[in-house]
Amino acid sequence: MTQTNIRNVVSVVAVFSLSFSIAAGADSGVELTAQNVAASLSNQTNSIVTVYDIHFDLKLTNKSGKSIRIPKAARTSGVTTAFVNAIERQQTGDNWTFLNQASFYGTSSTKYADCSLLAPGASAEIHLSDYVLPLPKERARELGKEPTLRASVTLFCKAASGVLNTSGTTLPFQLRLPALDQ
Amino acid sequence: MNCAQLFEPTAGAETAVGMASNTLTSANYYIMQNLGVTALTSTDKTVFLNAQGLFFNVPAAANGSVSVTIPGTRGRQQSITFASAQAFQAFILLHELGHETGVFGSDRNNPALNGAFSRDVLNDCFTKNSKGQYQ
Repeated sequence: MTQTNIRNVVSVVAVFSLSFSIAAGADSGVELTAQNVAASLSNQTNSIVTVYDIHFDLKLTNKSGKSIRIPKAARTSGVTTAFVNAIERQQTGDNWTFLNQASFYGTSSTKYADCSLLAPGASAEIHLSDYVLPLPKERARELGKEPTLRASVTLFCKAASGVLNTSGTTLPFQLRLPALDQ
Repeated sequence: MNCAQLFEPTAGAETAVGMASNTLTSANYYIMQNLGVTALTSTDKTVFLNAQGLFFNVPAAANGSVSVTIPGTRGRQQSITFASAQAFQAFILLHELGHETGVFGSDRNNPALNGAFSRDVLNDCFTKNSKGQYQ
């Protein structure tokens, strides 16, 4: 589909639309820590958009007093275990702004990892695929060389009752960014 | 509430149509060769679409309908079916529109809330055909 076609879809949407626990939540009991954090400049970067390939793995620690269901697989290859919903940048203190937000869409062929239990106080790791972070040029410049970020992540696992999801936000982490082309 | 007022809740019905339409059409849309996700809304009313993602490649049944799973309102993935790929594309753009306008707020830590936003879009902006597919 071309850019023009997308505009057409957008126009159609405009006309069409305008004529007419794992308990999810902020307190899932899982502490998420970003590990092995690294960033590189993607070859998708162009004159309008700066694109970073960001890598981080997740360390999950059960901070609640009961066992929590988490995805069994430690890697995402072949199965969906985790999805990064959003990346936020720390402005000052507890003031955070979104760099982006995304929603998860799956199909009937999407495979999920089975659930396993994480005991209270126990930890587990999930290795994530690189996260693609596109930003308009001016936004990328505002980030500076080493912004403090946090990621919101949804974890998926398959139980007898269906595919469960739960989410949380990583502890803040610093990301050293590669130099931008002028 | 009609669809436009979902995104412009403080505006009257007629005004909301123009305001929401303007937001939709004035946003920047970029197609990325590899985004890792289907769609992503960035700051400054910018929407990135993945050329390899479901927006462009959602598998269709013989009758043209498409089924996807999205976060439900009770912390479980739910399956929904659209009458066409175009209806699914419209759904994605409208969900992202909610984030662009700020009406939806943050659903970053809450798949159930994300599901509730999607439910609002489906209820206010789509109808169901005789097969129960959103159109």
